[in-house]
Amino acid sequence: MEARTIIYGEMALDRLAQWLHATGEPQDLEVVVRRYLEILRELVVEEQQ
Amino acid sequence: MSAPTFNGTAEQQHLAAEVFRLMTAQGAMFAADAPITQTLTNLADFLAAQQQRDSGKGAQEIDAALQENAQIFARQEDDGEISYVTSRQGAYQERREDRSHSFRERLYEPEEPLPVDDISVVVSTSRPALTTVEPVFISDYWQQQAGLLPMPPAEEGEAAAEPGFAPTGWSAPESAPSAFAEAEAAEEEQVPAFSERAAAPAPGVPEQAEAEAAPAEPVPTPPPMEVPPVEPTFIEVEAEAEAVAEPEPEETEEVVPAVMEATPEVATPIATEPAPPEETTEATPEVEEAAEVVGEATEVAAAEAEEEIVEAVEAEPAEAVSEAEEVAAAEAVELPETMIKLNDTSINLGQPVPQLMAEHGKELAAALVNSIDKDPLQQIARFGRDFFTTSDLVNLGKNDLRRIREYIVEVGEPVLDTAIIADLYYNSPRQSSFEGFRFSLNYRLSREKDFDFVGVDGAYLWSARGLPTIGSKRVKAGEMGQITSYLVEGYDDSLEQQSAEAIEETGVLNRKLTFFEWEYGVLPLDTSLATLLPKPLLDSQRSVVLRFESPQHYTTHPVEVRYPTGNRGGWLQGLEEFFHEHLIPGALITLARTEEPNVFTITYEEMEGTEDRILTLDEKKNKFAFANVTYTCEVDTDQFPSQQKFGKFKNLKSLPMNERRKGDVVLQHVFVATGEQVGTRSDPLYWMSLDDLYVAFNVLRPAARPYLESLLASDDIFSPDESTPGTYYYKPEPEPEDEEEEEEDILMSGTYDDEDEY
Repeated sequence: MEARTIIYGEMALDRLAQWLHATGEPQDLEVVVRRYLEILRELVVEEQQ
Repeated sequence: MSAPTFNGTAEQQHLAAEVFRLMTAQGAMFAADAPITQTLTNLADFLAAQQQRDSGKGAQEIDAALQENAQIFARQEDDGEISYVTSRQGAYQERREDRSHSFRERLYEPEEPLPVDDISVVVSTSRPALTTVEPVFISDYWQQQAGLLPMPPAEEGEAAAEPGFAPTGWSAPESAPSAFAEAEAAEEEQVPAFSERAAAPAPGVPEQAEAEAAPAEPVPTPPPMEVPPVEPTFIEVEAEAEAVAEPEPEETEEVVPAVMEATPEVATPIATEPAPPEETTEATPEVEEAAEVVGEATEVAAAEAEEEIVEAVEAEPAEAVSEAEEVAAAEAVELPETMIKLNDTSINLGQPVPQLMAEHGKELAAALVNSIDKDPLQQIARFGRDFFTTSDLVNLGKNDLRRIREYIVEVGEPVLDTAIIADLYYNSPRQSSFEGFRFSLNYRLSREKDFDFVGVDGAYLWSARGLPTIGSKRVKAGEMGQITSYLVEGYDDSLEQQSAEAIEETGVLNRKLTFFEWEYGVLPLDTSLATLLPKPLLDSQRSVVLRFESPQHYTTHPVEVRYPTGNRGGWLQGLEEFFHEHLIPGALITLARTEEPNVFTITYEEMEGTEDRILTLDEKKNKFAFANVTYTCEVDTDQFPSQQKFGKFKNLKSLPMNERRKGDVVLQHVFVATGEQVGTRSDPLYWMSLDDLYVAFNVLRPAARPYLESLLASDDIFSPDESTPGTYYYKPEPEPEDEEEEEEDILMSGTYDDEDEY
């Protein structure tokens, strides 16, 4: 995945919502940001593979 | 329904038809296939009576005719009594229920039912309506240990050590080889070397088998607690072996498949991340060691135990998982340089997440919050620092909102969200749905106009329309916002006495009460107070309600903190009653945090009762005066408005609040009313020290010294006294002549006194 295709805050929000749903309870801002960064990194790895 | 065809001679056919007609007439109301039974004797008697014949001979003829038509009449003989059975549709056939198309047959019965001993593999996702007590299967081994079953003879013990013998239960080590043998059977083709190693008797096994063979002694079983120490090495090896699998397939192909089979959960996430080359070289000898370890049958016995341990590891608390994730992220392979742009900052996504959070955490959080708020799909809801999916929100209708508002009004003060949930919805924090419901409630109320969030982080308080206001009504919010605007403009020296770091560290703030603060129970929200008090949780939050407790008097006072907005300052209100009961202007008070985020203490230094004449405001006459007051608190003598020191303060006018907003007007009035007239009557000039100005000014409205100094420097009518540092002159602009004449007339008439000014 090229760098220009990553739009922070717009990409993979649906994945973030799915993760939030899976956790079953509200999550703190810091935890959400961490998870979002991990999701973006996973996207990059998936794109590479 | 067609009539049956009868066999035999013409007479027999006729007789059989007659009997059939007779019997079907008897069972006319029966079902078509229901059996109709009649004895031969009855038939013979009936026909003999009709035909005037001998019943005995008739019975023989009937019997012969019906036997000729055995396809229609079934002959039965019971204790010598002969009877025939037929049905309305002809021959009687026993009814067979066809269940081949029933729901039970079609939905539940598999074509090849599982054997009973494999019932454990049947998994149902549906939850039974009633809890049932399931039978607990205990392995023979443990039953033997408990004495419920006789101990097996020596041959059985030896046989137990043979691969292929599979006793129930996994806990006993002797079951391990056989359990492994089962797994081996499935994998034998794929993993020949592994199965050979496993099937070959390991060095330790014969000894163990011999020990087990002793009938009188218990089986020398290593306790199950010894298994876990083996496990971490095993998992680690698996993980590394998995990582090595791609670069060096020829060395690990015999081991890896079996290992993957044992712990797929561990292998999967690591497999998604390519391993660095240096790890590969390090991992290889460990894989070989793992192969040796796996080769020992006794240790392979832990395979099943590992699965359970791996599951247990997965079920550990979220903290452990997050830590593991952090470690994994830290050790992860560096991504190719992938930059994300935030405003003007470029951030390399290839850095580990903890490093990203440490360096750009605030920017990333702000950008994500902004994006979530603007998301057109509104997939994620936000309240404060908490996030939840909108699809999981609990729906609260108008009826719920009405109940909540009535509840808050009934309580009479802002209420915690947890109290609302507990009292109205009977939801306990122990319930799994509690946090979700709590978020839904807060999120819903935050979008309603009838509710105001007045809580802080850690104590979510809700106020509702209809609640009484906190604090004095003598000062309007709009006026106070303008009066305290000097704080927003930067004229704040509150940290000169106590640094922000000290306040933050100790959670304690000392301050002196001015007359205005004491009179109206209001404290300007200067930097020192803002450091001590909590910050607003929501972006749009205007105020919070705190509880100030007095440990000296065991009283509690709700205090509303109004935060600065725009060019208006902030302040605290609600301490009027406490100040008037226990303190006087100039008192030294101490505010301190408590363990609860919305609770603070207010204390003061007590001393013996002292009586003095101090400044008071007579509300009825709307003027200042001195009165005898007995006080028991420590005071700052410089700001203590006693008659002895500040006798001229009684000349101050209680200006209307909209006049007090104007700092220059108040300052001029203070000079005229309390300053020293050093000029002439026609050319007045007032002189006053800054310290006295500060005290007098704070009688009418709050102000900081920098604010006073800026006022004094802002106009030419004020000028510093060069001969005496810290003192100032005020030269009023000349007044119109008619007013001067009027003032002279008053003075000449001799009726002037202080009250004429009011």
